[in-house]
Amino acid sequence: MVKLVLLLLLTGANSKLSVKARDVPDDGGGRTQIIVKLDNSLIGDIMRITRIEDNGVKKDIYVGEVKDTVIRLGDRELSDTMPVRYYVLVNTKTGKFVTQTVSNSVIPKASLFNKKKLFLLLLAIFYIAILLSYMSKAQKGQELYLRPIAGLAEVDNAIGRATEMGRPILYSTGLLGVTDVSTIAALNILAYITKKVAAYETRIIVPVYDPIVYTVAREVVKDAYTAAGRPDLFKSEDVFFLTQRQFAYAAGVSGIMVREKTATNFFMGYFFAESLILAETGAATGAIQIAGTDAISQLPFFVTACDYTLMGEELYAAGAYLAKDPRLTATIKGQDVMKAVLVGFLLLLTIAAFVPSLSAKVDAIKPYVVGK
Amino acid sequence: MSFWEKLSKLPRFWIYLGLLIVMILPIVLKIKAHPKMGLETRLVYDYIDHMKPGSVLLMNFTYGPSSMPELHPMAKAVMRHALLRGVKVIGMSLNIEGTGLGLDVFNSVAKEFQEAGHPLQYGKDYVYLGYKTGYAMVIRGIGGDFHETFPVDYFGHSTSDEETMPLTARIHNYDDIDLVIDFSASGSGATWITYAYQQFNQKIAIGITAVMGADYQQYIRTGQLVGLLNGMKAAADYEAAVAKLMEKELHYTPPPYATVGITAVTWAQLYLILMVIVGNLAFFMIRKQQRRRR
Amino acid sequence: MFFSRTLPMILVFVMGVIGASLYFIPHPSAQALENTLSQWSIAIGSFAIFLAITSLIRRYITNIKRGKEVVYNLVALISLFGMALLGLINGTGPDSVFQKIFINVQVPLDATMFSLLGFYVTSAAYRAFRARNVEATLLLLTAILVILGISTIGDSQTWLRDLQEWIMNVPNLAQKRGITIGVGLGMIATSVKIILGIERNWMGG
Repeated sequence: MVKLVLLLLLTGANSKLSVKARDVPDDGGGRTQIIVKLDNSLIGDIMRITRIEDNGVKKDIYVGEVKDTVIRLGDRELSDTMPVRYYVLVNTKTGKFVTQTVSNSVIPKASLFNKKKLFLLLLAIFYIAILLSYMSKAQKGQELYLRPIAGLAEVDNAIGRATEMGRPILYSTGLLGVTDVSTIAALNILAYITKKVAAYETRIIVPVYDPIVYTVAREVVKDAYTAAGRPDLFKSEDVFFLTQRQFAYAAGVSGIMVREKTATNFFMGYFFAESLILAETGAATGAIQIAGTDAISQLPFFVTACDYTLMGEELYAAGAYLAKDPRLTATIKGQDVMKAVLVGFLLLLTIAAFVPSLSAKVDAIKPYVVGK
Repeated sequence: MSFWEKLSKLPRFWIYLGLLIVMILPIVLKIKAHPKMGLETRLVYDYIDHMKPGSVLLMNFTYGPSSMPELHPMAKAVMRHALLRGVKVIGMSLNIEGTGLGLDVFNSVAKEFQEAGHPLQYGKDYVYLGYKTGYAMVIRGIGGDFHETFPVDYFGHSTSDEETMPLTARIHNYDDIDLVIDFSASGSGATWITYAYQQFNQKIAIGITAVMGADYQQYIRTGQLVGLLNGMKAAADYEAAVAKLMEKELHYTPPPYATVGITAVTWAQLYLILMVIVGNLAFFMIRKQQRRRR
Repeated sequence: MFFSRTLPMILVFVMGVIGASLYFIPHPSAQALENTLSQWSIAIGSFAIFLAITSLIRRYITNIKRGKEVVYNLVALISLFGMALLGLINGTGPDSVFQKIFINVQVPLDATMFSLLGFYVTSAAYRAFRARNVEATLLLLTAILVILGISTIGDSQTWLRDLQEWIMNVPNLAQKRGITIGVGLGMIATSVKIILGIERNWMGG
């Protein structure tokens, strides 16, 4: 076969048949693309494509009737260091030789950077730069106006109400793990609320859904009590793992609300279908309820059954609002600037899509915008 | 307290009792609906209907018993449809609860085809892989090496055995799977989109409970989803369409479930609208009375 | 202080930067690293389960000792240990006692909890859907149109189905995309704050 390859290379281009192989760009390696161009006269013949690796290993990757003058094929599961060629042989249906050729050599390399994601990377760097610039402005003492969020203004009142009534507060961190941003936001708010609760000597009950979140929540509550100067008030049995089953959790938390007669309920984090069960049970017990979630499909349920609801990003911003750390609140301003940039970008693309001469260009940049 | 004031403060018990009656009646009386397919369901149906015989459908079961009424008949209808079109079906689960439910879907549909006189061959026409821990890692793992991710099926057969398991033996990664359909009551659909679609260009459809359905509608227009089976309505639409197909092609009628369930859901929806109207009527009458008093 | 604050913050920074970088690197070694990190995460999760179950048992025992809801706590404790023992002794196969209890107790319990949603939706709608002002009236009418359109009534009334699909696919989707963009930007901002160690309330205190 090596002799054949050499011979074919020496004989130069075949006028009836040509084949090009190239490495698939921006991938994890091991994949090639093969483009075979055939003369019209070859339609109806049988084509065989054989992969020839540099170490001599051969494998037929395609055998079939020629139905088109251009055939594109993908080859995969190759070594990302071994060069490969593709030998194409065309015979008649009766097995009579017609023509043959061989492709260029190609190494199906693995890429270190996916160029299609360059735009996303630049956009991320641009956004992070905006965030950092606002943080630096805030650190220098520049005043930044932030719109008030009703639900957060009521947090202190809700804690105060529970204190006055001598009843506990319930806090749920949602149903996702600690890797989820909404859970982290919920833990940030929990730290703030626990410090307040410690000052008022009110009891807080934290039933947790996820084992890892439980270990973190426990530390957050314990440290918040210590930070408030009341480590003696921390009760380890009030921060506990309940269950990792969705509706068992809903049943358990509902039971706690009814039996403990909680005066204030906080539902912060990501929730699924159990959101209305929790919020309606809380409403039935007469508790003040403040919810915060980025689960869009559950927002209507919380809005209906809770007194205040933090929607989407307001949940993430809540920690910053409550902590009143200027560096944290500055990022909210940064987010708004980025939102304006994105709206401008969307408007531009929308206008371009309506201009016939530009719409093709919009389609061309699409892979870079979506990163694939 | 006037009649309207009493009505506006109607105890939950009576509202719940009304709903219970409205929902139980059509189920007890087995009142079947004849639903017409919605747009999102039609997208999935048409996609599977046009799949070539021999192509592969991967069904993932990530739901628990709580969402069985919506998702179980949906999954069965999809599997029946695929098999009627000669599509090979592979099942798997990403949570423990879904494992037994997925197995039940596979066993009962295989039994139906047996009863219809078209027995299916395990390993060739369908394979059930069962549960694999790791969630996103499993989804990514299939894109890398299917056999490494699932070396054996639910029953312990080697997935690379060409004699007994020809269906899985030829699967290397997502390139050999034509459609993935994820049945879940939670957010596993988003994980499939993130890993299987975004990284491996895998075609994906989602079957989900109605309460979570709104989360996924946005992915259809962006092309990240082939289609969406949203709640009991989609289950009933699909079940009715496939039942017709099965009657025509195999002269066999599969047992109805969602087509009965959707009648109960429709009645409940009408009851809900009635409650809203009654609530508003009471609200306006009270306001009127209050104005008069002033 | 080093082990409770500085080291975790360094780890968060290093892992955060690696995690974000992996999204842009298709090389197999990067993918292998991501798999390893995911496996570590699963391993850590397994240890956390022990701590979590311990907390649950401690709570039940404390409640029993205090004479608080003794029956409920006993049922929970017996169920916890009983199911674990049954699974260990008798296995969890399709015909095992474990499976029978799961199917005949857990399944109907779960289904009951989920079905409560239907009742709660009705009672919430009864209380909350009031045509108090123009916006609330619009919301109310839209909700009724969507409910009718999505139900089997929409099957025969095509105009209702078309209207429902338009409401869901145009105004509804537009607001959802708006919230989603905000959520995405908020997620990145929060992640940046965590990686840089500015946001550390979640570490306690």
